[in-house]
Amino acid sequence: MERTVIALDLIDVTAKSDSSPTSTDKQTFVDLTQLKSDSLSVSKYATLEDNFFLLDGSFEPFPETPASEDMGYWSLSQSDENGEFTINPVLEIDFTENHTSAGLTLTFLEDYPLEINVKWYTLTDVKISEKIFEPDALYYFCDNQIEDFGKITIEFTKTNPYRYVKLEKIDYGVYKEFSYDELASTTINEEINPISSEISINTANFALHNDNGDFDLTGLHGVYKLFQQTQKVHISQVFDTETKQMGTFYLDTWKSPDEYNAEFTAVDAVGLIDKTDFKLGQIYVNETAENIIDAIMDSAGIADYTIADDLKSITLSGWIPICTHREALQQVAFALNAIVDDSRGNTIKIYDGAQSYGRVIPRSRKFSGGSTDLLTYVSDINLTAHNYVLKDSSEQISTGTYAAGTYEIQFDTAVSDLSATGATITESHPNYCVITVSAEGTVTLTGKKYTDSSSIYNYSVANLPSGAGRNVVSCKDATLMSLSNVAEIAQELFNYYQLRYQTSVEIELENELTGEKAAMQRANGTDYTMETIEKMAIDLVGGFTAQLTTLGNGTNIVSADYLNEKYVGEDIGVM
Amino acid sequence: MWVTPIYDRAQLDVTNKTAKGYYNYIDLNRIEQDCDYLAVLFGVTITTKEWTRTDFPTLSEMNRIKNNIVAVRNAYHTYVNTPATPDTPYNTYLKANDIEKILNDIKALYDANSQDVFYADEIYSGETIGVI
Repeated sequence: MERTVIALDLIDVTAKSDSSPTSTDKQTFVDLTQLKSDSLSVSKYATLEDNFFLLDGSFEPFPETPASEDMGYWSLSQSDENGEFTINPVLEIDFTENHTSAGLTLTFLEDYPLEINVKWYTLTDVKISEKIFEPDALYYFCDNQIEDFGKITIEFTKTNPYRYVKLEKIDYGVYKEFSYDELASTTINEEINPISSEISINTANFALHNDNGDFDLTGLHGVYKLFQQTQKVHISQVFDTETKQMGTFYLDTWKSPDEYNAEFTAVDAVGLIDKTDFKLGQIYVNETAENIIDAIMDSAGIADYTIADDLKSITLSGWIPICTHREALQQVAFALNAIVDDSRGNTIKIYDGAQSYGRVIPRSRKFSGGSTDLLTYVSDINLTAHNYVLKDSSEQISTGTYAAGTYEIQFDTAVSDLSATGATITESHPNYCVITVSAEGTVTLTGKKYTDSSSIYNYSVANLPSGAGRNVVSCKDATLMSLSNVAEIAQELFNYYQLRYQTSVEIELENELTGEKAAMQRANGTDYTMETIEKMAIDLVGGFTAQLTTLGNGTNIVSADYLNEKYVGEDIGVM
Repeated sequence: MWVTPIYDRAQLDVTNKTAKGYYNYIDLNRIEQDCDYLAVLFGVTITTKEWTRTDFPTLSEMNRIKNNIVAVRNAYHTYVNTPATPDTPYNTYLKANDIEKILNDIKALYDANSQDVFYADEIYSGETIGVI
């Protein structure tokens, strides 16, 4: 039976980065800061602990230089024949600020301890709670909801005989799934922009129901207190034979009309990177798209992204001013005529043009009530090509009176050869600098500015269609447009704007994806048009239906079929 | 001192997680000891190690054990059906069996030959050596 599952990472999202794990009982190769990583991956290493190294081929030899590997926490002490230690290993985790979580989720390595004693303290070292747990799996949740803790100690009191304690991961919270009657509604809104004139933020809206009153805002142990912005939300559709990932989102807002119900909104990774700034943009001269995107994603803290191979080596020139990471990515995607797509998974995909997988949307899967609109004709594209040139002479960039301290000064144009009086420059970047002022006084920054020597490229049709007037689309703020790519991109934009037939229709969703091309059977039953799916609003609880917004050229691809195209090869029609 | 090798591990030992399905420090020490025994016997220089349950078996240590086995094997003879020396890493019961079967066969062959049992036309005629 088909069902929707929402998995919420009810994790204190700042606890791990704020944590400082220490232990006096650890192997010399252990780097406890690894426990702060979300991407730690410890291999299954052989040891000579009693009856541990199973000869099934799954164990790797222990690394020659374990200090340079992902290892997690390994105690120095090994338990005795009774699984007890002379002195119990203790892992202490200190925090600089208060945190709240439903407990701890511990991930052990290949063998789990049999008993642990966890204590929670305030920031001032007052014990809040103590609880003994008996793990029964490598992945174990220590269920104890604590608010405002500032220190945790985990004492490992019993193991299997002759064992080290080996811990790969500590998550401050729990992963919780909601399904069946707990889901009152779930809607996902997906959108792509084929020309990346903007990068859309996919959203998820869902409502949860709980008979136990867990959503009581004032309840001491209700789950409501555990919700935090940017917690991960994994939405999937489970069928008898497969599970479809419908997307990974990040919790944005929530409200609770009563203790039994809660409503949530979540955004995708693009929405996440829209909340932070990319300050490390610079003047690029024939820089590969891959390098620029890597820098943006690295700055945004996004590791899950892919760039189509044919885009990676394209070189771009221009400037990225200080803007959000989403806007910076949009600048690159626009200059590549690429699509940025974050739907149906946890990876931001950057690819070239709508994908075609031979999908057909028959009339039988369409609900009544759809419509097709004819968009305004576009006859001209005016696209500004930028050329950033460093001035020969230095000039004053800024001046002001500053008290002693450290300041970040952002520039509205890119700057080079920066110098300061009245302060020390501790960081210097084309878009900003960081200065340290030792005593209050006037600080003057001097440097060379880049000037923009821009030009406008026009792409237009010589002869207008009958009945059409000139309609110009202009773009002057695409700062990675240069003389080397402006003509190509202007033509691509023009081609896109010739797709004027925008269709809105509700369908029973099968495998269609946003960003794909699909052949849509029209109402008369005989005509098909090739459509790019630009937008979907998917109702997961109300029957797995989707409200589609598509764009095409309105041409019937059945009557316009070409030799060997219509029924062979399945690149249907005139595309 | 020679310690009787174990080379009858089976898939069921791994599946059922019996003691024979694991490599413990005692197993490695038995291999090291038997290599040393044969090395002394044949005047071969090898490097051995005494393992404890707190040690970590690295690939270089496994390669050292392999080199020891190759050294004692080259110093004497094996049966036709003695397994080839397995490549590292030594992390399967089949490889564990092969290692100790090799040591067992070398010792068995040596012991048999040491009994001075001569058969007509066999011992100096150059073909198959020993009692086989």
